Amino acid sequence: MPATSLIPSYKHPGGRPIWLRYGVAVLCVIVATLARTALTPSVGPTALPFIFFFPFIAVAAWYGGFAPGLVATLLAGIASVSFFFDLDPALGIRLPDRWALVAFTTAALVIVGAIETLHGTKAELIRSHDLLSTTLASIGDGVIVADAQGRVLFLNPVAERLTRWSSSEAGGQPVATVFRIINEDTRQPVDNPIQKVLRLGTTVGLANHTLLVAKDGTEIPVDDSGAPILRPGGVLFGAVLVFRDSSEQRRFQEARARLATIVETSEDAILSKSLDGTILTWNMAAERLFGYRAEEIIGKPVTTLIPPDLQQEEVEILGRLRRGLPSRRLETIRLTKDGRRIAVSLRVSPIKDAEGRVTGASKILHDISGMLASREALAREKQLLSTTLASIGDGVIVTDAQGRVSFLNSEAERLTGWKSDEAREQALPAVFRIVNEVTRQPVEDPVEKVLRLGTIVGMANHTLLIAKDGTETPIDDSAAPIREGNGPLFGVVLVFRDFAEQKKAHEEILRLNSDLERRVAERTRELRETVQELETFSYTVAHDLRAPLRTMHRSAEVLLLEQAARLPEEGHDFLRRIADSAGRMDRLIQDLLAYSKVTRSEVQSVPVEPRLLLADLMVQLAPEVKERRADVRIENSLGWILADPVLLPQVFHNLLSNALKFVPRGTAPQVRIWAEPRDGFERIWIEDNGIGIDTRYRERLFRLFERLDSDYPGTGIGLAIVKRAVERMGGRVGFERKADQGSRFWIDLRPAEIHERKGTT
Amino acid sequence: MSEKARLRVLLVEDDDNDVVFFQRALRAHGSQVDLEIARDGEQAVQALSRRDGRPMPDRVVLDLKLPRRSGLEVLTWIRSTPELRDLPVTIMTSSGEPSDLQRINELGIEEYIVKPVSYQVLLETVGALLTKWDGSRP
Repeated sequence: MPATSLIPSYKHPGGRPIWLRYGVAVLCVIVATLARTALTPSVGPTALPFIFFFPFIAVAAWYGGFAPGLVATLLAGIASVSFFFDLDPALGIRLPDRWALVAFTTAALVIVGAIETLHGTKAELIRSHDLLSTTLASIGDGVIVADAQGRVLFLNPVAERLTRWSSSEAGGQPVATVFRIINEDTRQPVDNPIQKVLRLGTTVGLANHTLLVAKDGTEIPVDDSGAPILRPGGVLFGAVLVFRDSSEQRRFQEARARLATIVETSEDAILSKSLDGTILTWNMAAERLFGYRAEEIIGKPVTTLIPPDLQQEEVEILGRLRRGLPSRRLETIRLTKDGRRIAVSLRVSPIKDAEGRVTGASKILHDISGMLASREALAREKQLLSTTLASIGDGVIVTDAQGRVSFLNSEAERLTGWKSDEAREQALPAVFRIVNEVTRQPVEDPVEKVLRLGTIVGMANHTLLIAKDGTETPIDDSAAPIREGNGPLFGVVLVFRDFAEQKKAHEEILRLNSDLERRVAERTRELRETVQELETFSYTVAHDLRAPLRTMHRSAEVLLLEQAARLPEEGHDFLRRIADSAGRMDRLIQDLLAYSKVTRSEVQSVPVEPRLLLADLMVQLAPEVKERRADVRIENSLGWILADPVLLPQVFHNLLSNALKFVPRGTAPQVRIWAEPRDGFERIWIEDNGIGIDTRYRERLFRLFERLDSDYPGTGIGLAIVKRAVERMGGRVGFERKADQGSRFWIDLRPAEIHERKGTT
Repeated sequence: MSEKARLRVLLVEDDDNDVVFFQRALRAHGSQVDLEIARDGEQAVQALSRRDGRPMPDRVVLDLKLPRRSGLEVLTWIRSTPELRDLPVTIMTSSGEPSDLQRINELGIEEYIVKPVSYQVLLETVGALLTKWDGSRP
């Protein structure tokens, strides 16, 4: 499909048939001869012999080419000589005519030669043109040539196709009309490169994102450039615009970019390597997994990542690769940048070129340390569960949601006589045959009940399990649904135990219990009796011991009071001794009784208010307090405590009594009672200004019958009673020596909680 | 003013010594008291039930530990006998805390006195009692 030609049509003489070329040449000579002959009447027979031959030789050369031209020249010469030369009979052609002939021949040759050259040039030109046309026609890009005014001279076929303009239509149009381009994004017209080229005289490239709008409105993304066409000498002849449809390229680029993004953003590490194991690409996930940045690791061998003991793997992988097979999914270990070993699963796939030859491989790696840990945990749990089920004392049967057995533990195997494997897939009643112990009728299948009701089910009493071999065992059981969270039921677990054992054990327990209760009751009764006896005994003893003492004391007194005159002074003395001794013994007996009671009696632990008790005590001791001119201060810091309402007054009495008694002669006793919290107890202090107690005697002080000072009256039981009573109330007792005179006794008792206190004691 | 009648007291006490001292104490206060003595619980009951024309005692001073019938039994009997229900009873005993104290209180007594070991104290106690008894005589 020849394009519009740049030069007019030209037919090369070489293309014409030979006979025609030479024939025409001969004809031209003949015609020339005739023409000259016709001229003879005017000019004479020998004038201007060559004149017509020149143009006709030109025609012959023009039409026939070089050789016919030569032939025409030759024939013309001959004709000329023959018809128009005045020949000398002796010389033939006269000398001056010879020179004329030579001149003619030369001139004719020059003409033929010139014409031939012209032909050649034209042929050359045509060949060039054809070459150019063909080239332009066959290149894949569109070409538009414009003149120096920016008017289209030529469109090649691709340009025609893309612009939808034909070359002939486009000829003479401004380039901008034919080659309309707009910006892809803004849709605004873009400057035509041709204009730029024509203005600047240099090569110009195109802006990006350009769309060509064809004649019919079709839009095609294009890439192009324009260049000036310069004649030799630098004169601008025009400009040529070369452009191509870049949509294909674009799609390709987009696809590649998408793929690259997928690889880059994948969470799995993806890398590619060449066949010799050199790492070529490395995505972000790989950076994260291994710790190498892309620039650090690309170019290094992939064996950098493989622990020394596993290098063999790479060999195997490469082997498969060369055969074009993807590797099997492999769970293995790789090395990170900091030398850690990580568990990964990897898959290697070959990368092939267009011919299907393997050029490299892509590797996808996945950190499976989490998965391995889970797997391990799961295995452990399974093991634990298995062991647990195996070792619990009860039989366990698990069924699926259709009531088919899926598992028996060893105890269930023992009791039913079925092995877990045998029982699998069996319906439960086949394995777990139960009847009523008494009626021998089959009992409702508990699993079926659970499946129906969806709740935990206990079994009816008196159930007998019949094993595979017919052995019967009384059992007790329950069945429960197995659910996932609150979801649907997916199985049932049945738990049962050999009841016979349990029954026996239960009965034994009941028997032991009642036995124990009986014995405890008996013991308690015995104890009570003993206590009662002791009480009676003490009471009686005290009473019977004190009566004679009374008589002794009083008798001596009466004598002293009423019969003193009759006795000498010494006699008085002895009478006083009698009275004193009797009195002492009486006090001793009373104290012993008190001590015994403290030891024996049931101790209560109730909230009491010490201040009230002390107030009562002060009333009781008022005479003595008055007599001794004692100053007893009871402070506000005393709070509620847990104590026995009978024992506590005794404790206070004894301590206070001591404080009042054991003062140096002539000193008025000063007693201060206060309390403070200490180590979770309430510590009540009874401080005096008495004779004090040497700390050497700390140990002995609270012992029975200990008296540390014989100057002062006392049975030595008072403090023993205090200690016993306080200890029985769950407290502690002690004393401290004061720096100056006196002692500080303390008792620790539990404080009563606010809610335990009553309004009144 | 008419002459005061003499106070009639029934002393129920088994210990001879205690009786002697009680009598002495009464005499020491110069009081004119008609003292009747019962040596055990049974005698006390007899004495109170068979008066043989003698007037009923104004007061009973009762020990708790007695042979045959105990002090508590006597008291119970007194309180359950219609004519004697309001008869004032004073307990005089050697123990400060008998196990039947509550029962005794329920039955109703005038005083509860622990026998003092000291004669002096006995004198004072008896004196106080006499003052009290005299004052409350109708």
